[in-house]
Parts: sequence; C-alpha cells; structure tokens
Amino acid sequence: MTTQFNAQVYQNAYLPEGSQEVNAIMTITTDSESDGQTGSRISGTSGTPRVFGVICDTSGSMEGVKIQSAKHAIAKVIELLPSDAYFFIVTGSSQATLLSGLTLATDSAKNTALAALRTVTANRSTAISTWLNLALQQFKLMPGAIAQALLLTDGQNDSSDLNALDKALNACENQFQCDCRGVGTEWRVSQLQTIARKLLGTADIIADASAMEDDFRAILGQAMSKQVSDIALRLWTPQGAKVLFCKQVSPEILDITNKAKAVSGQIADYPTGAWGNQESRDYHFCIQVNAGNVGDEMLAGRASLVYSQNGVETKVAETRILAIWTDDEVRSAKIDRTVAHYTGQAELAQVIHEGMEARAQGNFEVATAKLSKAVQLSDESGNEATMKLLRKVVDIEDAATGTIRIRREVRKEDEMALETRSTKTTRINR
Amino acid sequence: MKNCSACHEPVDVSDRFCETCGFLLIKDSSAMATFQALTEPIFPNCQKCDSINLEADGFCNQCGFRNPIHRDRFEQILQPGFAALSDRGIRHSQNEDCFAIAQLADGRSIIVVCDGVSSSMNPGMASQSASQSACESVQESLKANLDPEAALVQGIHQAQLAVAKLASISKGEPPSTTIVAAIISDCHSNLSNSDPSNSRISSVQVTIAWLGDSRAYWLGSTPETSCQLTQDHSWCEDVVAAGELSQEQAERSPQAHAITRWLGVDAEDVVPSLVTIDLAGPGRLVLCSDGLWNYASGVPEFYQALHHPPGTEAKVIVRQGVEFALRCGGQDNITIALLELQSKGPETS
Repeated sequence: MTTQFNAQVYQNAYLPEGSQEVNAIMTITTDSESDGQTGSRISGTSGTPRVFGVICDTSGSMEGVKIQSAKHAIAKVIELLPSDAYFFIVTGSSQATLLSGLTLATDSAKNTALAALRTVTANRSTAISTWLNLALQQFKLMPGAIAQALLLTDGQNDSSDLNALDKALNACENQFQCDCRGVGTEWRVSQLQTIARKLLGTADIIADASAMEDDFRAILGQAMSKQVSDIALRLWTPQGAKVLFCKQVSPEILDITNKAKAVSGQIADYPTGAWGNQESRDYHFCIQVNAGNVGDEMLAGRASLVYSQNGVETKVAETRILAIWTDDEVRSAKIDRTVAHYTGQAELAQVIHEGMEARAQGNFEVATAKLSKAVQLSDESGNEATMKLLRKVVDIEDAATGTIRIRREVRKEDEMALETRSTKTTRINR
Repeated sequence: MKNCSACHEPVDVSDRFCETCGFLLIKDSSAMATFQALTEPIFPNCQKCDSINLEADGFCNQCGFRNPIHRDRFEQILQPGFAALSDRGIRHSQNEDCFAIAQLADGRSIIVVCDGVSSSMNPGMASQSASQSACESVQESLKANLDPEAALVQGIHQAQLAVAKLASISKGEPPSTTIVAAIISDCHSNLSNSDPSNSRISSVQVTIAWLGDSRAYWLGSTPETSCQLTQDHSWCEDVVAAGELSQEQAERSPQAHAITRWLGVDAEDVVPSLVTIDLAGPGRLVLCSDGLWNYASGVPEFYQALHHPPGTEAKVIVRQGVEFALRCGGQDNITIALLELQSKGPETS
C-alpha cells in the first residue's frame, strides 16, 4: 500500500518595505490511488503493523455505570479489531495492570482478553504516569509499528503523580499517539489536553457514559485507517530566520512549535504522527526573516514531508514559501484568505479559553467581552459546531455584532465540551 | 535525457510539453540554446551573502535570496539591424515579459513580444511559452507557404494552446499573457531588378497580430513619418473609442491599463486583431511591452526616446531604450525588439 502526499501553499508573498513576518498555510492531503502524476509517494512496507493500546481508568470513582459502560465499549473495540492488528489492554488506578499483553487480534486472543475484561472492578486512586509507562513498555515490544492508544479516565490525576506524569509523557512522546477521553465531569480539561497534545492525539468529553461505544468505535476506525507513521514536517528556513510558530490548524489547532527537532542550523523537523489515506490537514507557518529591499524576492521557507524507514529517508511534497518586498500597497495589504481564516480560528479558540477562564473566576465582564468576540468569530467563519457549543453557555441576541448575555447557570458538561472542543476548526471553501 | 528549462525536471525528448509543469519544450536547437539557460543564475555566488550554494533557479540555500537569473535581462542579436532585449525593470522581482525573434532563409523576419499578466499564476512561463510557440509556428507556416496573416493567426492559436497547457497544471488564476507578433516580408527585390538605384527606398510589407497592450511602432526618419501600428485592447482605449471619456480622462483612471483581451484559458476571445501595411523605408520597426511605452506613449515621445542616427546598431538602440525606461522608474518589465529596415542594394553614396 502506498500513500501519496500532495501539498499546496496558500500565502500572499508580497510584503511592505521593512516587513519581516511571512505567513503561509500548507495544505497536505493524502491519497491511496496513484492516478495523478503530481504528488509524491511514500510506501510503508506493505502492511506496516498497527498496534492499538487501550488504557482504561479503573480507579474507585469509576465504580458503577461508568466502569460498566467502559467495559462494554472496550469489549466492542476488541471485537471490532481487524485480525491483522495487534492490541493490548492496560487498566490503571494507583498502579497499572497489564490486563491483556501485546498480541495479534486473533479470535482466541480476543476471547481471552474479553474474559479478563469481565473481571475488572474499580477501586483505589489515580496515577496516570504508571498507566502510560506500562503502555510504553508494550509498544516498545514492536518498534516500527503504527502505535496508537486510547486513554479513558474520569478523574483528576493524584497530585502526588504530577511530576511522574511529566516524566512519563516525555518518555512516551514520539513513541505512540494517544487520544484521550474524559467521562463524566470530574476530570480536568487542561490535564487531559496536556496529555493529548504531547502525544499528538485529541482530547474530548464523553458526558454521557452511554455515548462511549460510538466514540470508541470512531477512534478505532481512525486508528486503523493509518498507513504510515512517524511522518515529519521538515522546514528549511534561510539563515537568520526564526520560526515564530508552526501549528496544525485543521482539523484542529495543535501548536507543534516546541516539538521541533533541529536537523541542522536551518532545518527542523516537526512531528505529525501517523497518516491515513484520504486525510487532509492544514499547517500554519509564521516565519520571521531578514527584511529585503523593494524588488527583492526571498525563499522564506521550504516545507516538505519526511519519512524514515530502516535509516532511509524519503522526502516528498516539497513546497515553497516566498517573500517579495514591494512598494505597491495594493499587493502587500492583501491578506491571503486562507491565512486570514486560520488566524481567525486560532483567535476563536483563544478567546473561548480566556472567556471560560474569566467566567470560572467570576469575572463576568471579561467573560462577556471574550465570548462576544467568540460568537462573532464563529459566525463569520461559519464554525457551526463551535457556535452550537457557545449557545449552551451564552444567550445570543445578534451573532454578527456579538450581542450576547452570559448564562449564570450552565451545565458542567457544556462548559467542559466548549473548552475541549474549541480548538476544532472549519475549513474555507476554495 | 534532457531537462525542462522551467522546472529542471527530466523530460522525454519526444514530449511537446513538460509533464511536471506544463512548460513548452523547445524543438529548435538554436532557440533551445537561447532559452534553456534563461532560468539559471547569472553569478556563481549569492549576491547577498556570497554563498556558492545556489538552487538551479537562483534561490540561495543559505540566506534565501533570489539571485539574478539570465531571464532577468536577456538579449538576442540576430543581425546588426535586428535585436531584442528584455529586462526585469526596477520594481518587479521577476521578468514576466518574453520575446522570440527569428529570420528565415528567404529574408523574412518574425518578431513576437509577450507580457505575462502579473495577477495570474506563472506569468513568466506564460509569456515564454507563448512567444516561443508562436514564433516556431509562424516559421513553419511560412515555410509551408501560408500567407502572413494566416500564419500569424495560426501562430497565436498555437501560443494559446501552450498557455492553456500551463493552466492545466498550475493552480489558481490561469496563466495569461499579452502577445504582439509581426512578420516582415521584404518586397524590394522586384524593384531592384528593374532599377538598382531604386532599391534604397524599397517598401516592406509588415503584418502584425496582437491581443492586449503590447505594441508595435514604426519609426521613420522624422516623428511625422512615424506611427503606432497597433491599438491596445485596454479599458482606456475602449472607453476613448466609444467616446465615453477623453484620452486624458481615461488615462487618469486607475483601470486605464486593465487589458480587455489576452491569451489564456480564461480569455473570451483569442482571435487577434490584424493589420497589414506597406512601409517605405528606411526606418525601424519596434515591438515592445508597456514597460517601455508607459514612459513615452505618444508617437513623438516614443520617436524621441528611441531616435538614433542611421546606421546605429539595433542592439545599441534597444539597450538605450531599456536604459530610458529604467531612468524613468522601471515600474514594469521592459521588452524591446527592433528591426532596421534599410536599403538592400549597394550603398550609392
């Protein structure tokens, strides 16, 4: 199976005299078919093994309907695993237990795992670091595989485990990807987001335990669609330039600036994780360059995707980011609409975060101003999913002008849903 | 194996267009030699940071600056009286103009000047592909005994196909360009047989086809015997012709220079305007892009800008013409092609 990568850059290369900041959006799409002549291919060794790890919270607070739903949903995931995938199950409380060790998903292995799952009960406290360390151990049994996990929890990590969690996350980074789900409303959004962002996964709320099965099924589907892993976004910049940020901006915002690994003085690799076929993501680069003279043209960046296998590096889909200095204001004043769109989406996520924080602190004046801006931005960009979440937190009189009233009584799960999902972006029609 | 002169990717010898970028692949080996190296850097080291690590298209791998490439200023001299020069100017980062000139064994000459539309994608490739394919096509047509007007119509059709090919591969606003093309047929030979002394004031037949605002001028020995041979397809020209505005009013409008016809897949009408005229020599035929005529639009000013004593070599005149436009500000790319039409018989004085 080969995965074909195509990349396209959207930017206004024209800068006014003295300007140093270059913005560009790179859209990367993958395709399994080799119909087009354009684009370039990365072939995973046919059938790169996929390992799927399930990490489930079994601390005392899970007792009751939550653990029942979790066991039921995990059982469904096990049943649905394709027979050529590998899996393992880690259950965790104050320590981690290997409920089912790494194995090929044969019928008999599945049956053994399902039997073990039925014996699971919930007790003791929460030390997520131990769960992640045990999962890492399992993933390390099969290096080179497409390694993905699903972590389910319902509560906060023990405060005594915070340092250990940081350490575990550093060890797990770039070793496997992990989607995180919080069930109920007793867990901390920022904590789960930290784990997900470090491990290139998503974080979301499952407010109602009965929705778990569908959600898990979707996560498994995504994970099994991946064809190649450890794809890095390689960015060359000219001498003296500085990458102000590099963010994934679609399907959701993920700042990967600090994940850069220097290849040389002018080249850095940003991890993008595993890719499936028919995927499409957008990345926003903001590069500060030395200003040129009017009429000068500069290559401000060269972006490509890099895949290493058995020490052999394949570079595909190279695109260019340009800077051209002009004294024609009509040209330099135009902001590329794709860049403008994602700048707006990033601001939307930011004002929601700030607004909800102000609200939590009882500062309703700031919260109103921030969420008013959020309503305007989601209205402008047609981000209906975010608008729907906002409606549960504020009463909207006029979305276009941002005329809103903060609701004093809001359900906890609606608050948490808005916070966790505010980084989901829309795309623009091109 | 050879490489595309635009994107440097390998291409098949039998291909007409590059599979990677859609660029026209030049058949004629001498024209090939002229055009192939156009996209390569002029200097071996970066003019900004002195690094020798340059990309094939001039970008410095150290500091990122785009270095001058041959395309920024290129010249072709076919004869002392026949030369063309194209220059990036001062305000544009790239030269999006192009020309192609040729002379047939029977003495007929061909000139094509194209000006890529800046707002479209790959305008430089559009003008280069269009000028080269038009010139090649006209040569073939004339050799096949097509009359000049038919040859030009066919040539511009081929140019349109070449520009359309680019559009099929590049994304965004389809590449587009202006075009002005001329065939100069020598008519003096009939006269010289009967009366050799008459050959000095021979007449020539010039056929011109164009789309857009690249122009042709005839420069006689005085401003009074000089004229503009083409009429722009531009907003300005249209409203003046329709009597809606005076020339002065129209030229002040910000859209004065918007062209109304061009080559490209988004063009509504690609049948060129045509004119055939007999011109009495001696004199000079000039084809140019608006980077020159913007600074000397009227015939007297244009005559003044390019006036040189008889016998001045064409390359000197085009170089000084470019210098003139650069001195005036060089706001746009500048392209000038010039053919001196003089006596063909022996000098009697």
